[in-house]
Amino acid sequence: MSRYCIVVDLDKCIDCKACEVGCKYENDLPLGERWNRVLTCGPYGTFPDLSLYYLPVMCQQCENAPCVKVCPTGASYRDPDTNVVLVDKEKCIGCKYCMMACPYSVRSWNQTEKVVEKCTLCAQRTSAGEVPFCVYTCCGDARYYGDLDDPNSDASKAIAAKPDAVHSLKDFGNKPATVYLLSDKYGQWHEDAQGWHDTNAFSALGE
Amino acid sequence: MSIQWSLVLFTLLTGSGGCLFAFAGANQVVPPTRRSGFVAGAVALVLVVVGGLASVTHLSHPGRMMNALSHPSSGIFVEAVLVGVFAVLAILYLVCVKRNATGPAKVLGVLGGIAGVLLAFMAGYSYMMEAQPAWNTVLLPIGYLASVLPVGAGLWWAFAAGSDDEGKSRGALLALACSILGLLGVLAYGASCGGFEAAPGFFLAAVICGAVALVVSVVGRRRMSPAFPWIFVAASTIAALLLRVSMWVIANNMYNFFG
Repeated sequence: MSRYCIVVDLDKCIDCKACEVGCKYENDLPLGERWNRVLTCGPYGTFPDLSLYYLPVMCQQCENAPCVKVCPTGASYRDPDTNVVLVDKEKCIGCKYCMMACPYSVRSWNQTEKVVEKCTLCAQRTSAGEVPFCVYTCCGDARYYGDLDDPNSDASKAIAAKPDAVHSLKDFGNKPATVYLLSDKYGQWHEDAQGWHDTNAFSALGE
Repeated sequence: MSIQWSLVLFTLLTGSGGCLFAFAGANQVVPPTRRSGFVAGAVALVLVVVGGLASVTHLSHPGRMMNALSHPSSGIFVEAVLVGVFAVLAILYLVCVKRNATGPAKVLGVLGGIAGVLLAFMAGYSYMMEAQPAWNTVLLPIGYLASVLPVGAGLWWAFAAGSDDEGKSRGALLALACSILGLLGVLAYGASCGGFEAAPGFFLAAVICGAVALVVSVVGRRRMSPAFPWIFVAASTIAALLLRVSMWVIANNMYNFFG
């Protein structure tokens, strides 16, 4: 079974927010809704030994997704062909149970349609053989998309190039598939979310 | 997380109705009073139905709810099934009581009581999830159940325990026992989840209301005034409501990246 996800090389991420803006543009997201958010982690340590890195967060495509488990109608489901966690908005009843169950709070409430939405890995693009828009638009070439079970995919190759820098968000039994690459040279991975914050124009607008 | 009032009312009303019915059902096994059982059973049924309707107001697309039949693993589905099962048992029970079918009424009363207690427990159990550390304890569903036991007991005391002194005293004793359980349930959950630090006002208010109910039940055993049971019901209901409100106030996903 395939494991499509995004691998983010934090050694290269410069917090340009192109992935955030690109995601909103590609998926026509309304004001107040974001499927991808770049957080600032740090700075950590004491001068002169300071470290800081940027962390783009979106749906982690968990292998044991709690959002799929709790959904009463099956609106939150795994695509049988791609194994990607998606939301069938036609089935969503708006109970928001999945939003409570997601450990990373990556699901959004669409105020207009009154349903839950989230990153789809740009299904409309990947089905046509293209990469998700955030991967396409990343100016630092920090994002990779592919099947982790395919050693020839961009995602797998990125991980193979930096085997000692592999990290993921804290696992609560949900097994997040998304991989973050952070080398010790650029920073120390912090799993506990201490010092993580969201700083950008969108948050200033109350998004 | 914002307080989901529809769900607060859903769990409060269905739990209270379920527990009231449990006492009515138990009364069918212990020396029965047909009249008491019918009124208590009817009130319990109304509470559960109204609570169920309250939950529907939480949904933005309730018409799609039938899709739940294809996904029975979620807590919401289990709650819906329990509400349905309870309603059927309660209706059958009322019919049997009305027709003096004491044998079937006993069986249905006990089964309905079990369904009612399960409903109160499962309403809290469905919130247990790793993503919500303040909810991820079995003391939450225990607290949910324990907090509505006195509400059901109070309603039983108010209009179903009997109009004679012995019946009133029995009702007050039941209310007293359940108020102790309710108080312990609130204290246990509040202490385990850090609620007294995160939302001290709400949890303390719940404890105070629970303590008021306990005192009222003690006094009410000695003074057979008809007001005491209703004061007990009010205090217990507020305590149960505050427990549920507190749960939403202290809710926060493990990583609230988008908060």
